[in-house]
Amino acid sequence: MIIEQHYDEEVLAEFLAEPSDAVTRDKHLGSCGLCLKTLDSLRGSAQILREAAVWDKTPVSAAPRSETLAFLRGMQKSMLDEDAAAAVWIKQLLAGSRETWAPRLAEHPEWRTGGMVRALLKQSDSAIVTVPADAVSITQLALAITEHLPEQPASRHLRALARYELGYALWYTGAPVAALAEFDAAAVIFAAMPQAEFDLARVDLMRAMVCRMIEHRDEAVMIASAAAEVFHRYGDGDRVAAARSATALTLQGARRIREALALHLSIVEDRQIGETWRVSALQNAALCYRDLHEFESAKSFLSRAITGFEKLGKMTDRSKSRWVFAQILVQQQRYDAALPMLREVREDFQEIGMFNDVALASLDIAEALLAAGRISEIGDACRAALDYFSQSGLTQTEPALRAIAFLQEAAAAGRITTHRIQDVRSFLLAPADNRKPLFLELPS
Amino acid sequence: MIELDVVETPPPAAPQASTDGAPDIGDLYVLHRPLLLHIACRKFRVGETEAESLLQEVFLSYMTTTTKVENVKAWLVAAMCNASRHYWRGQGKTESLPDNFDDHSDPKSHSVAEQAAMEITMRQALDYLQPRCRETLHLHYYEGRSAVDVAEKLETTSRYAEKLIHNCLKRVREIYFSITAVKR
Repeated sequence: MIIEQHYDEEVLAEFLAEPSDAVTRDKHLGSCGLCLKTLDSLRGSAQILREAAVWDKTPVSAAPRSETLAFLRGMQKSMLDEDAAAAVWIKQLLAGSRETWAPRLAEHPEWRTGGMVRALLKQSDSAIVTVPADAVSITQLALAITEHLPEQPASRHLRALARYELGYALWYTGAPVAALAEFDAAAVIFAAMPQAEFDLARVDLMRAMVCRMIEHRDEAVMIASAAAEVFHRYGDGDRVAAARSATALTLQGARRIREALALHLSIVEDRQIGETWRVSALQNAALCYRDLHEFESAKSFLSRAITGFEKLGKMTDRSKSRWVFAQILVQQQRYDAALPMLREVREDFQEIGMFNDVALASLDIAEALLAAGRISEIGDACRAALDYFSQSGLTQTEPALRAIAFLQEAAAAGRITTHRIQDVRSFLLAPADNRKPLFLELPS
Repeated sequence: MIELDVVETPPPAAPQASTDGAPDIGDLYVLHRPLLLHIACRKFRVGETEAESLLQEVFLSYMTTTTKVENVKAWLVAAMCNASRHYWRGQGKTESLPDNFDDHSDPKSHSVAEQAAMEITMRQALDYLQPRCRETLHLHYYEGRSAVDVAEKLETTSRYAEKLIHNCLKRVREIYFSITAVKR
C-alpha cells in the first residue's frame, strides 16, 4: 500500500518567498490539492500581516456611542410616527378621481411630511402596473410635498427620490424625454450627497435605459457599466444584472452581437442573481444566437427560457419565447413544425388581449404558409384572426383588424406576396399617428 | 419575421416597506459599528470622532433610502467607504492627503467587508502573541525584512530567525483559527 506524503506547513511556508512558478515546478505541489490549499491559506495569512490596518496602534473604541444610538433610534421613531400618520392621510388624499388629488393636498398643509412622501412613493409603485398615469400624478404630489419640507439632507434625499420615481413613472408611460429630465434633476441632487452613491447609481441605470431608447448608445453603455460597478460594491446582484443587461441590450441595438451575447451569458452564469434575471438573460442570449444564425444554440436557450418563464408564472414572456422559437423554425424552413406553434402562440395572445401581437402572429402564419406553398390556407388563417377581432369589438383592435382584412383581401385576390406581408407588418409596427394607408393595387 | 422585443425587465423602483417592520436601527448600528469603524479608521485613516459622524450619516442614508437593500452589510460597508473617500476629498482642500490616498479608492471594495473582518480578527490574534513573536512578524511581513535582517535586529542567528518566523506564523494562525472556529 502506498501512503501519500504531504508537505508540512514549515516546508510550505518556504514557498511564500519563492517566485510564483516554483509551485508548478515542484513535482508534489503541482499535483497535490491538499498542499496547494494549505499554501493558499498561508499566503492569505501572510497577506493580512502585510496590511497596515493590522498593525495600527491607534485606539478605536469598541463600545457603541450612546449619543449615536439615541440619535438613530430617535430618527427611526419619528419616521415611524410620520409613516403611521401618513397611512391614514394617504387614503383621504387619493380618494376620488386623479384631478381632485392636488387641490385636496393644497387644503391640508399638515400632510406635507416626509412620511407622506414615503407613502406616496410606495403607492406609486403599485399604481405603475395598474394605472401608470396615476403613478405619474402620485409622484408629482410627492415631489410637491418635498418642496415644502425643511431644508435638510433628509429632505433633499426625499426630493431626489421623488424626482427619480416621477422619472420612472414617466418612462413607464412612454415619455422618455420627460423622464430623462427628471432623472437628470435627481442625479444633480444625489451627486452632491456623499451618502447617496447607491441611489445615484439607480438613477444612472434608468438614464442608461432612456439613452438606449433614444439611441445615445455610447452614453448608455458608459453609464450602465459604471452603475453596475456601484451595485456590485453594494452587494445588489439583481441590479448588477439589470445594469449589465442594459449594457448588453444597447450593444445588441448597435449590432455588436458577440459582445452582447458574452454579457447575457455572464448574467446566466451569475449565481448572485434572481431567477427572473437569469431567465430573461437566457431569452436575450437566444436572440443573439438567432441574429448570428446559430439556430440550434438559439433554440436550446429558448427551450430553457420557456421552462424558466413557466416556472416563474410569466406566461406572456413564455409565449413570446415560443414565438421566437417558431420564427426560427420558419427560418430553417421547418414550416410543419412552426405553424402549429405559431397558432398556439396566437391563441395565447388572444386570451390575454394582446391585439397587435395577435395580428403580428397572424402575419407570421401567413408568411410561413406562403413560403410552404400552402397559399390556399392563408385566407382561413386571416379569417380566424378577423373573427377574434370582431368578437372583441374594441377600438384598439381597429388597426390590427384593418391589417388582417387587407391581407385576407390580398389572399382572396391571389395577390399575396412576401413584400405585401412586409407592408402590413410595417403598418402594424408604425406609431399610431404615422401609419401609411394600405392600398391593394388594381389588377393590371 | 419581426424583431421581437428583447426581454427587458426594468430595475425595481419598488420602495421598501418604509420604516414599518424594519429592524431596530440601534441593533444594526451595534452589530455593524466595529466593522464600519475599522474601515474608516484603519483603512481610510479617518479620525475616530469624524468616523463616528460618518457612521451616523451612513445609517441615516440607509434609513432614508426607499428601495429594498439586498445585502445590508455590503451596503453599509460600501457606503462607509464612499463616505470616507468623500471625507478625504473634502479634507484635501485644506490639508495634505495621506501618502496612500490612492489605496483608499480600492477597486476591490466589494470585498472590503471580508478583508476588514479578517484584519480585525488578525489584530485580535496578534494581541495574544508574545511581544517577541509579534515583533518578528511585524519585521518580516509588515516591514518586509528578510530572515537575515530579522536575525540582525533580534540579535540572533539567521537560522533561528527563520525558525522564529515560521513558528510565529504558525502560532498566530492557530489563534486566528481558534477565534473564527464555529462552535458546535
